[in-house]
Amino acid sequence: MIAAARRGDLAAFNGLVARYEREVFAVALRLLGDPHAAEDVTQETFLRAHGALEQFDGGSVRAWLLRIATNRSYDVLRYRRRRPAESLDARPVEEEPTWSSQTAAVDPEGFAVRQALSAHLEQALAELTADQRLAVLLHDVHGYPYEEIAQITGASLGTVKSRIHRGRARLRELLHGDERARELLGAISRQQSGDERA
Amino acid sequence: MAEHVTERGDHIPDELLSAYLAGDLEDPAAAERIERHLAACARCRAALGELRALRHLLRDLPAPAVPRSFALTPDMVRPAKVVAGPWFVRFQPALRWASAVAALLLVLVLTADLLVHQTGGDGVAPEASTMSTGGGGATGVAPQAAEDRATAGAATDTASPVPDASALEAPVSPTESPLRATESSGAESGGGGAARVADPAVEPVAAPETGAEASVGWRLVEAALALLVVGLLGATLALPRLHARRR
Repeated sequence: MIAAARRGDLAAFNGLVARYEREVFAVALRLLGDPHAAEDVTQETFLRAHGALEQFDGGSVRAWLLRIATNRSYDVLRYRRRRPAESLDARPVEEEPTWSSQTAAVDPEGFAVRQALSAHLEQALAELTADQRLAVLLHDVHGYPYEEIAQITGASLGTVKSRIHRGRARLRELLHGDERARELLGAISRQQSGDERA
Repeated sequence: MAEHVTERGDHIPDELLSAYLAGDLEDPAAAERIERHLAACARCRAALGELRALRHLLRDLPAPAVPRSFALTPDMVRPAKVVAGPWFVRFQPALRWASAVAALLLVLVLTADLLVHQTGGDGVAPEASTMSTGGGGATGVAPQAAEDRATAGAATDTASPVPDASALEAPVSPTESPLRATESSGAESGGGGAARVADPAVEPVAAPETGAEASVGWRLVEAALALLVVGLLGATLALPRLHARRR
């Protein structure tokens, strides 16, 4: 697909877009917390990728695209940090991104608990540092191995691991800060360990 | 990472538990210590369970719905054939060149003026002040007036004998407005020299001091050129900024 795209086949390139846009958008959205900014970053990521097809070194297309997306997202975050007032104004308050419906698990009760906790977890994720958030996102949410995350973020393997473990610790701490979230997490944990024993 | 498990009955920090969970502990002894502690500590077992649950939750976190397709259209990837932007942005290089040429011309005229008046000119200073007011009034139409003077000058040459150097430039009365210059040149094309003689008020070219008249012509041209340079430079600098502010 990438070879065809390099020859100037736009349809082939759009095949890549269709395959990876969900993931690119998801990472950008969780890094930025703003659907409009995430949309811009996603579109720009594919535009830049198309313009830089010649420079693609033949590794993982997914990692390459995410590297572009995270770099752009970090640019946006840096820009916001320089102009905090403006970015606060720009941050949509009421507008929540729509989350695609999850396929219901075998037990509807556990599914409901999970969904309730997911909202808390999204909030907690947003409170991590950008580096920790990205590392946790890529590893735990998107399933990237450490090496690939090191490649994407340009950090060492040890740093990547440390960010993930610190990020998870902070997530648990944040969830414990909310009584309802703490209860839900405890319930899910007990349920899972019960499943494992069974 | 600090793979240290305290022996003092404290609990294991979450960060370390997470690393243990992932099998990231490089020191096998640390893993053994953690396991010993976990066997005895319900609180840390609970923490480990929650961290494990957290990992599952993160993995199962619903992906946000993509708001639209991000497929590229041919328009997006087409190399830009025309430089984007309004006309004045596109003509920016032309404006810059025009300013440079006008500035160069001004320098040339000033140099020529200086050379001519060093050799032949004297006592024409009083005319300069009259000229400057005339030049200021004619801001917008300065180039137009210069053209008119050129046509008028061609006719005057035959009528009154002028020094060689001043033949380059048209001797025009400082009181004459650009509008009247246009009128008079129109009249000349119709009636020739007779029109000028019939109405001396419109075109008092037949003044006795041809040297002074010529030097006023020089000043007018210089003022017009200076105005042109300032105008062009102003346009070159101001237009992109105006454009940027509007965006």
